[in-house]
Amino acid sequence: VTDNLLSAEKLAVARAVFAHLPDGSRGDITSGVCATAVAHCLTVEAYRELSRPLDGLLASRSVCFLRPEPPLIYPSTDSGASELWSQGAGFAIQHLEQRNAIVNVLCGLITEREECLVTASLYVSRLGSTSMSEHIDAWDAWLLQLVGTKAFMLRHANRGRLELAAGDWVFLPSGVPHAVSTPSTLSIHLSVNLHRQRKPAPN
Amino acid sequence: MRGLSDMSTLAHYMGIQEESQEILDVDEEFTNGALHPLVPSAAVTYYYNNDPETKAHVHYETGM
Repeated sequence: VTDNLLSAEKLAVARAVFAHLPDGSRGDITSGVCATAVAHCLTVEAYRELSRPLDGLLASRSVCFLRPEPPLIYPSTDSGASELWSQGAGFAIQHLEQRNAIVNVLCGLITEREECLVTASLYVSRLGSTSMSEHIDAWDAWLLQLVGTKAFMLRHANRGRLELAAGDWVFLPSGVPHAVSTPSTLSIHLSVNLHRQRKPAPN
Repeated sequence: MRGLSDMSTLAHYMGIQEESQEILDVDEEFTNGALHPLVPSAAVTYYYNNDPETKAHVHYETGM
């Protein structure tokens, strides 16, 4: 059934997610816990994206697998993706704001407030997965853990190791060196990325 | 045209296809009426503007 309208309930969830976003202007690392309904709604959307036909995602280079070196691998075939997963590489679905309606609205609300380009990625890994080596992102990231746990090793004066369980979030300003590992059987987290130096490119 | 169940998905490779389907069976997907004007959304718009029976195929097989 399609009525070309977001349901009021789900739109409220998008706004609730937005309400959780901390003010990142001071550059602090902050963390907290999301409302259960918010985490649940976004978890459903995560499973929805994982259930999309894979061929189009691959064709548009929207899925990258994560390894220490080279850090990002974009497979072009189903078998390539399957092999990388079986080898233990975690992966990310990029530009979720262009694929998922609730994430689209969420990123739009943040764009309105922050006046910068906002994108979103979904990260998936499992116990023992490989990922990128310690690195620095050029964007502020609001990370919301949806499934399982994820450990962040931060090289920062005030924070060291940080472990997120389902429903937890952390706001990680750009420029903080970090590496990740997966302590749980499966981990899924959403990363909402604020590109402070880039203006939005609306439709 | 292939059925959705015949398509490869990340959930399939992860071994969570059944669990995912159970979750999605009770949760409808958004439509495009309220997409945000400040966020490029060609892929979502294209998806929803096509026939509901084939939208997934059209959307993803064109790589949008």
